[in-house]
Amino acid sequence: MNEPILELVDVRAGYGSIEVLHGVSLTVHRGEVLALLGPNGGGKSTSLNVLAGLVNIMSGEVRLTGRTVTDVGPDKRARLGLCTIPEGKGVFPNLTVRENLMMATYTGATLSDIEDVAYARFPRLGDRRSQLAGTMSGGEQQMLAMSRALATNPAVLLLDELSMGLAPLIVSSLYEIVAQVAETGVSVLVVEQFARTVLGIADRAAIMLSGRITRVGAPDELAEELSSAYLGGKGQP
Amino acid sequence: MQDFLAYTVLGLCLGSVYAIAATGLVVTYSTSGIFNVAHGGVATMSALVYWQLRFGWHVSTPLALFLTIVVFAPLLGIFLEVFIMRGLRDTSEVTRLVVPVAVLLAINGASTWIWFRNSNRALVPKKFFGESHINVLGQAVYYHQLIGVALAILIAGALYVLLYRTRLGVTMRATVDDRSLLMLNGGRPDVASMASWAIGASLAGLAGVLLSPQLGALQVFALTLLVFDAYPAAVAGRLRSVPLTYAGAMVLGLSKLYFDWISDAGQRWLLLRNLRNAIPAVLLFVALLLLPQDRLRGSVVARTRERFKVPTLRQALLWGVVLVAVVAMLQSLMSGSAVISLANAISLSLLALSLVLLTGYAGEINLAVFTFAGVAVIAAWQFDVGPNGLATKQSLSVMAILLSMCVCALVGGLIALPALRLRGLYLGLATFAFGIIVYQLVILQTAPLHFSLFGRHITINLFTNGSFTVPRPYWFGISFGGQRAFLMLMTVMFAIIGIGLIALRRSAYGRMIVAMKDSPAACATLGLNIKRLKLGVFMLSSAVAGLGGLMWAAQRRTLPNNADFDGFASLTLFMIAVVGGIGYVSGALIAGIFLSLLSVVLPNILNKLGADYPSLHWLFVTVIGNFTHYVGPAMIGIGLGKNPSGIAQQIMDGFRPLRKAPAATAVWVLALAGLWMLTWRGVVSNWNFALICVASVFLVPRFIMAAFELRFVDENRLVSGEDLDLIGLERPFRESDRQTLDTALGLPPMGVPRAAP
Ligand SMILES: Nc1ncnc2c1ncn2[C@@H]1O[C@H](COP(=O)(O)OP(=O)(O)OP(=O)(O)O)[C@@H](O)[C@H]1O
Ligand SMILES: [Mg+2]
Repeated sequence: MNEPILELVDVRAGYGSIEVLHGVSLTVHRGEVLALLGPNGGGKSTSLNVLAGLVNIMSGEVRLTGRTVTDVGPDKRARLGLCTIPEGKGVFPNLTVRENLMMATYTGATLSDIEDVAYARFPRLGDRRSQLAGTMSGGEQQMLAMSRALATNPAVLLLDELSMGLAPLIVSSLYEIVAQVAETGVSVLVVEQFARTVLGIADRAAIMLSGRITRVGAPDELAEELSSAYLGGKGQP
Repeated sequence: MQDFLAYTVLGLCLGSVYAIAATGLVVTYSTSGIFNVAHGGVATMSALVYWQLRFGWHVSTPLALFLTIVVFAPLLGIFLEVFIMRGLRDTSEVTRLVVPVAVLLAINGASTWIWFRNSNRALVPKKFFGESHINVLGQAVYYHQLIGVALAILIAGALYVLLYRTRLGVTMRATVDDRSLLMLNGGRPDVASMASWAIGASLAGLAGVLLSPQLGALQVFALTLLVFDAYPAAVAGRLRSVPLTYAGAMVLGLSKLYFDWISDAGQRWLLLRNLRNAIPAVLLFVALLLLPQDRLRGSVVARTRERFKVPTLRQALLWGVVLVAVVAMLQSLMSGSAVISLANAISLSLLALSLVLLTGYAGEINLAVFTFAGVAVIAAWQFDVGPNGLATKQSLSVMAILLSMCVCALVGGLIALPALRLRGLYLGLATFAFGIIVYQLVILQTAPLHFSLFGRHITINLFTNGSFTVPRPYWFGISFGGQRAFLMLMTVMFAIIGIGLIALRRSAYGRMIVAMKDSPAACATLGLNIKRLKLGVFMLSSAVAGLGGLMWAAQRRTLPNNADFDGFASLTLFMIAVVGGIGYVSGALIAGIFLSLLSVVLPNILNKLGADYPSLHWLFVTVIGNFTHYVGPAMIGIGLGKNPSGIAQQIMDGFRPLRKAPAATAVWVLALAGLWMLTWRGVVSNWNFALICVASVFLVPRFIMAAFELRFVDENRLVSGEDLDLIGLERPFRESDRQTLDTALGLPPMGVPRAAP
């Protein structure tokens, strides 16, 4: 249980010459759900993109199951079992539902298996398999994005703001699914702003403020810290 | 009626080949966002390769086709993608247009070099199955044409299956949608791009082979233009939709054949006999009018790699004076032929100035600069020199220049109108089409145009007997007829317009223009009328092009109606201007000098070297000479992908150290002036003067950097020893900076404990 599967080790990263992450260390353990929380612009999405390989790092190290993957491209990382659902745009808008699922086959699963899983879990997708993903509702799009996580059997699942722009009911049902996925042994890193939605399913939580991890601990321990973070407090050094 | 049907059949045959060619463009555009102007070059080279295999080496037809379409063309496409086009990610639209233009010129240069070095042989292409044909309603339809139709249908089907039924095809479409998401899925967008370039090039190759028998003998540029004819079909398909592209291609093919039918193969109306060649360009305008409005781009600017700085007005004035002084001093040392080369260079620079305003400042594109020169000359002649020609006028009057600038502005406005709603690429295509239309319908016209308007008889002189003779100015009692005087006049003009452009760029209007380039969406929300702004800039730059064009024509004195107007010269000038540094007035100057150097000076020098050292003739003339002649300019253009801000920027960076050491700089300038004196008096030879100047230009800035301990922080911040307190202001403080500070403060080199997070 305590074996690290995905790690950031003293990572500095940013965009152009602007540094956004100032030495972030973060570990996701095998089989756990880790929630990464914090206010806007703290660098949560950037951390996630560093893990996924979309943002290059200036110094530090990224490790997957103990091996350094700093120089491994995002597509290779995905084929190694990292499933990332980015903020707000987890689907190809101009491809149909079925074609979107087809793109998930690069991880090794067959299309028919993926379709079976997706349509069984989300019957609404089955009804709309030849509709363009971009024309579906936000909730349906998020379901489609989640089907990739469900069907490709990843080792680690990285989720960025699943709740963005969705009704609370949909959000909680999506997180129920995340919890179920985690129960099958998949390690999960969830990025969220609204803590309450994830703290229920998280094993541990980390708070990120202006490019630094300020606190890691059990979810209920962090509740108080969170409110001060959102009220603009600097957090404890 | 029977004729109508017969011509319809022929039109559809032609349309099929256009469809194949245009679909290739669509396939590459839709996965890479690059409008591959070089498509025509790939088609041409493939047709030549096919000719070589089939008729040069007598390989059997199926094998020759296989080697051309399935092996050669796709490999060429993959080569282009991997080594050139891939580097264009995150560059501006202008760069993404210029590099393919450079590739086109390089491919065509290479084709010419390989097949037409000894130009006298005729490579005669033949149709598949020779002259075998069937008769359709009294018209011969060749097997070759039927094969084209069959292939077009086959390709449409195959592409549909590929793009919608296979994983590779869906991946290609996914690449366009969201490249990084595709990678997060584990897909390889690079493989998808390679596949699409391979397919695009293969289709180009096929189209080239199918189109080539329309020419009696293969010619590089003629064949490229034939393939260009298909481009409007791709525009009709909005560069994305294959079915619409097919529809556009059929309209193209049918229009050409219907024109043949009603005009008796062009014999009926002599004035319009070249209209057939201009039909694709006309249809392009129609397609542009019908295209739906583009979505406004929002925050693209943050991500492009081009960066231009704006000089202050004082700097501009200073450099203007320096330019005039340097040219005056240089020309006094130069021989007559060298002065002509320099004057050519400056005249081309004047022409390129219009692009600094349009492309450099406003981010729009004009691919027909030379056409505006032609229009300006016709207008100036009309208003100034009059029907009796040069005999009555010895000078290009100021009035004529102003009037022809107005005409150019109006014409420019008319062309820009249909494309104003659209992205810059479409404006570029519109201007290119305009260039072709004017070339075919106006410039190739060798008889004056007579007509009556409101009872008055009007004659418009076009390129009567194939050329115009343009007088040079005679102003303020000074004749600028002599080459040296005219050179100085043009230099002063360049300086004045250049300063004017910089003043414009610094004004509120200039800031609006740049804002429009950076973020049209933001401009629109601020209430700026983008269309009006675009139109204004385009008209202004057309007027500048008219002025530059007149000077360019007056420099040449006799302006024949040939190669400069067929589109490729304008493409070259545009490319070189962008390479020179389109965001800078000095970029235009560099462009003119470059073009003049490459087309005249360098070949002369190489030939002279070859003659002086016969044992090295092969090196100087055969290798370097041919290389620079055929593919040199293009190679420079291709290099742009690596350094999209252009050469001017690099040169200025090179001189930056001088500002930190004004005294040393003054000494250097005085020394050069003294050297010039000595050369002028004949004490030092011209060659030595040139050598010392060039060497000192390279060495002095380095020397100053070393002597004053200057160094570059980042790629473009220069600091000297005293500026240590600026470190860390523009970017985060690094370990290396701490070491620099420690050394400067004389602290022992030891680690400082890092502050706790
Ligand atoms: N593509 C980019 N280019 C430049 N800066 C960026 C880019 N993306 C993010 N940033 C900057 O990096 C910082 C961290 O952004 P990031 O998206 O990681 O924050 P976040 O914690 O995910 O915030 P949110 O909760 O609002 O999603 C911000 O200051 C942002 O402005
Ligand atoms: Mg975020």
